[in-house]
Amino acid sequence: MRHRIRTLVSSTLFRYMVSYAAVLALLFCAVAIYMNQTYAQTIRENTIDSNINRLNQIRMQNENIFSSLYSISNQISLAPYIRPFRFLKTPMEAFYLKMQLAPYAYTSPFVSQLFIIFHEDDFLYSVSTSMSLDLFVNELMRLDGISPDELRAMLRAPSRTTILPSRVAQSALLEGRHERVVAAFIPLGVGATKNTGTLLFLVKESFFQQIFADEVLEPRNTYILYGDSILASSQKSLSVPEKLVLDALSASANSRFVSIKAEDGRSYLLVAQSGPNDGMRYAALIPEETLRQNTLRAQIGITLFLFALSLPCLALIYYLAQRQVRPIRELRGMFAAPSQADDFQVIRSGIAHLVGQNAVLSDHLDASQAARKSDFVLRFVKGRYATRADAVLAARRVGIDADRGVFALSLIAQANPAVGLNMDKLLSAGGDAVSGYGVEQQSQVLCALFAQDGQSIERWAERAKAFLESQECAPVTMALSGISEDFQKAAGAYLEVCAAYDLRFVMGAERVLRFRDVTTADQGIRPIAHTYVNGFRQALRYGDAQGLSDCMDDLIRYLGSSEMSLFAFRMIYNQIIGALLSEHITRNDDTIDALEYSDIFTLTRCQSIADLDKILRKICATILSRKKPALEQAPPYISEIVAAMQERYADPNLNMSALAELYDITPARLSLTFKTWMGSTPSDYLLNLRIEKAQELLKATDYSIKEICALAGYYEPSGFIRRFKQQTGLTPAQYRRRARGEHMPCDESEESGEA
Amino acid sequence: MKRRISTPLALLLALSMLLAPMALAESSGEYPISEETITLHAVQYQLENQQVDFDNLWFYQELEKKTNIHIEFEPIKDGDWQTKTNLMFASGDYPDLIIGGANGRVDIEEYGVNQGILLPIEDYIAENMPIYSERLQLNNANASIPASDGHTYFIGNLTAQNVNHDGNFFINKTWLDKLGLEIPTTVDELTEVLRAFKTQDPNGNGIADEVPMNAADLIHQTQGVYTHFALFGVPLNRFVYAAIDAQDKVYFIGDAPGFRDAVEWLNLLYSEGLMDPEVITQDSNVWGTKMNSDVNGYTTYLRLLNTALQPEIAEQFVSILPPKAEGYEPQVPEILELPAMGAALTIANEHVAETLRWLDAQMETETMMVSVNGPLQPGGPIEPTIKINDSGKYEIVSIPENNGLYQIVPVTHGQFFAPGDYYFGIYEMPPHRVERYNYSKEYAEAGVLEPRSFYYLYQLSKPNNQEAQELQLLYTEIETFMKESITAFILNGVTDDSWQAFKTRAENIGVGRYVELWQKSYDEYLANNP
Repeated sequence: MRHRIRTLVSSTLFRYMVSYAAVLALLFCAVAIYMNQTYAQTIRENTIDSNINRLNQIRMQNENIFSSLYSISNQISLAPYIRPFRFLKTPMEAFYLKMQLAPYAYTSPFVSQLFIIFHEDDFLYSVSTSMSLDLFVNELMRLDGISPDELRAMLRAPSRTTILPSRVAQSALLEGRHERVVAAFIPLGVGATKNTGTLLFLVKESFFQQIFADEVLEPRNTYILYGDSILASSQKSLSVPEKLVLDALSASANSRFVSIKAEDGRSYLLVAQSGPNDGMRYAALIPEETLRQNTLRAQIGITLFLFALSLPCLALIYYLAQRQVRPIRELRGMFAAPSQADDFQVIRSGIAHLVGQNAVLSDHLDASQAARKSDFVLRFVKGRYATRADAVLAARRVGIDADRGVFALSLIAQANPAVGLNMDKLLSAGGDAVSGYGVEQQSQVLCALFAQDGQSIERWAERAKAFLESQECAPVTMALSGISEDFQKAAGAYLEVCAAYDLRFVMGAERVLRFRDVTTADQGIRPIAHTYVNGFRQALRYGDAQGLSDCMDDLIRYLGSSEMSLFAFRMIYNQIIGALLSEHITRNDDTIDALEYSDIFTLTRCQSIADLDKILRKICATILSRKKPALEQAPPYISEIVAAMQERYADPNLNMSALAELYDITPARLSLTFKTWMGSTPSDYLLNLRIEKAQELLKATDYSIKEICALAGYYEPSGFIRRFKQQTGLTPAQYRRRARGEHMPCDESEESGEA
Repeated sequence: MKRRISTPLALLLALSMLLAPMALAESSGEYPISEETITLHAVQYQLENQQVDFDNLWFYQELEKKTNIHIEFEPIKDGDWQTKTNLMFASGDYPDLIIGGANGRVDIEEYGVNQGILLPIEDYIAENMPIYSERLQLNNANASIPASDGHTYFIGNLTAQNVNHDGNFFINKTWLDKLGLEIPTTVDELTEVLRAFKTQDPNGNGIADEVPMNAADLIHQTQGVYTHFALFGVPLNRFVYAAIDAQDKVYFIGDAPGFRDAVEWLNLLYSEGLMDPEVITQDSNVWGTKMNSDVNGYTTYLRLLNTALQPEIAEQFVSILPPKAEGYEPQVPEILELPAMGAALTIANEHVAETLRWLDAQMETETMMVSVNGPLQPGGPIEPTIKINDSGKYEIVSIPENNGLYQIVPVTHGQFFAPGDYYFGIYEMPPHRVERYNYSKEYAEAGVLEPRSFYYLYQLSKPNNQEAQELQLLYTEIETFMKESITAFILNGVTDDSWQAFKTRAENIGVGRYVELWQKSYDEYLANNP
């Protein structure tokens, strides 16, 4: 249990919830305290106000009653036909008076009985009867607490209004024989001077009770006071002696409310209201208990309300806390940690761990960088990147900017392999113009260099050589390949740089050994190499194993017969190998054969003709073995087109569109498919075919160039000559001479337009 | 009655007549009235100050068990009775029957004769209400029931006391004896007696406080000044200022021969102080108070027992025949005890025979007495309140207080038809009833009542709507005029001039027309009721 509590307490969700809840609780407490404080006061005031209002209502209704009485007396006073008389003298007047009183008596709903007496007369009159005053006060009207003499006096009092508080009246003249009534004696006559008589109104107390009839459920006494006595009061629900009420009211003439304490200890609140100048006062008596209960009820009400409100608030707190906690949980989830641990602790330690890891990784990264750069250089040189873009991307990944325009390879002799070379320093010898990297290989450093232009690389080479020599305090051999834009020629560049490097035997280490310098010597070699390359190409193209073998034999024989320099040998070798590799071994081909024979490093170990023979045969065999099955899978029309071309090559009208149409495919499709399976476009194929045929003819026959041109399928001899030279590097005449073993003239201008 | 009966119908009638006795036999006392429970919707009059649950009244429940007739009561209090019944008639949604009891009335002329909403039932009564029919014959009980078109529209409610006048003459015998005087038989003798009362201190208190003659209110029919006109053969009453002579002629009361002499005599009494000057203005309460102070010797009143008079005062007085005035025969206004509307059927009623039988069931003596006075037999909801005494008459044992009887039996809300002769035969009349009965017998035998009761005009003549309206207008004027004139005469006396003026004034008001209308109505009545 304690474990669980600890878990709970340490949980972040819990903490959030607790903090929100604390704020809320504080707020609620403040509100509750404030409300409670003000409630008692407010309810008290409200009670007083509402009671004052009610008393006002009562006052209005009471004044209604009395104003109707005054109104009647005014009307009777002013009525011209009602004039004082003496009954015994003019009894007829009495007869008329009775009739005339009728409307007045029935006008007001409150008047139970109306009696009139003239001061000069001894008789009273009502609507129903006349009676002598003596009979009236002695027998016919008994008012509780009023003696007959007092009654007489009130009836006779000149110009004085008397209102008797509610009391029992016993009279045969009343409906119920005895009733509780309020008796009002109102002087008759206009103005105080002309008081001719008195009107006695009896108002049933039930009318006053009706005024009080709006009693609510709460216990309350209502009083109407006249002078210093109670005129009428509601059915008493509270038993408080009237004297107490009267005393309290007289003591506090003007205040709106006063507190009373009864004998039995209960306290009451008396709310009072005065009428305007008519001597009436109105009061309501409320037990303090009621106020207290109301306050309590209100307080409970607000408490319950707050309580009820707290429930949705708690829900909201939970929701918000959850939302806050979620990202924290997610973060924590990323780190494995024991479940008891505090979220933030876990995150903290996790991050610390990651930072440490990161440092370690960074170190590794730095270390591997060098290896990766080396790896890049080797792959680049081996020609492993299918496109320039791939090479640039790979270079960028290792931090080399290869996308500069030209590249070159450099071989540098490493005098002391044990001592590492500071590659950065070396590279920066050229400033920022050159980027690249160098790989230490045995006793050499192979550098791949990328720059905007060749001059930058040349400049670098000079400076780098100088730098190294300053370090070594001895000459350093540095070879530089040709400058090229085409990354696909990387393998060829290696061959070049190797060739250049080999010049060290002759040239020494004084200067940068440039391949460029070397190539000037190969003027005569190139065409020879070209011829043999073409032969290989054609043989390979046809999948002609025999032809291939013949060609190789031819080449070997040639190399053996001519006293070629190593350099020349190397040149020829480079060209042939390079051409074969670039055309037939795809860049992404990772089969064992491919790897071995496309590995330029392996190939450059070839030092003798025997080696060359072996290598060439192996490469050709590999290429052949690939081609055959491939060829068998080609669509049938390919071989048919090939056959068609081989048949009709001499026809100058033979073109691709016609062929394509023949086989119901588009020329573009034909071209593409042909290239895929045959390695060259149909037009190139046809061209080669024609050139070969021409070569055969040149070699074997004495036809004129013009004739051969036509036989090869060309309209125009100049076109034919141009093409021939393009393909083979020699004009037809030169080829003929060469093929026949004749000496080649130095001036090639003799060849043009020979008929 | 229309007499166009075809032959087959005549045969049918004959057949039914043969069967009638059987039916009659069946209906008289054969219960239940119907095999299937019949439900009737009844509008029931209810006294203003009574709270009654009619649906659960013991009496009606017992009646329902007996008759198998279920009544759905719709009680209407007195204050709303007029309004609601008028609305009910106007709405067209009529109940099966209207139960008025002793007090609920509807305008028979309007709703029966004119609008035809009430059902004429004279043809059904004989067959279905044997008990009631029999009693109708007594005391001219059927007289007032037929309407102006001759149809009977209601079943009567009548509690007869067998009385024939209201204002009875009383004189203080004790005083007479004290003063050794005889009971006066003439007006002159009366005047002398009154003078003696005034001067000779008959109440023996040494104060000349006696007021020999007292009366309450000018017009009241029991003790008003009007009652004293009878001595001069002037049957003055405040309901119709007209009377019918022995020749069935209607005349204006002011034209009565003794009228002038009457007012002159009264004026004499007034001037001599033999009559309380307040008789013109005081009401019965004041009169009662004065009477009870033993200062009065002569008055008119209803009776002595069970009144506002204290017993010790009441026992001093005796009833006397009205003293005769010189040259006149006394004519005391006669009252007729006429049935009021106890129950009426409407044209919506589909069970006329059954309804009437149900009403008749309540006319049966024991049922009727229980209906008004409470249970006779033990085992009811309360102890028996009535019993049959040794004389075989019903006698009241007790009266439950706080009007508790109304919660058990209808009392005055239900049916009661007891003409005088019948009622006196079955009911042990309380002494005060007997007292008035005796006075009535005496006055009738002495022939001092007016030849034709004014009720023949007041109740029995049925002027049509227009005539009734005109009569009402004239009556209002005449009443005001007469009250004023008589008061003036009494207080001021009569001179030839004032008398002439009176006569002229009366003519101008239209007493001629008044009399004419009444005469016409009365003649019609006579024609319809030979």
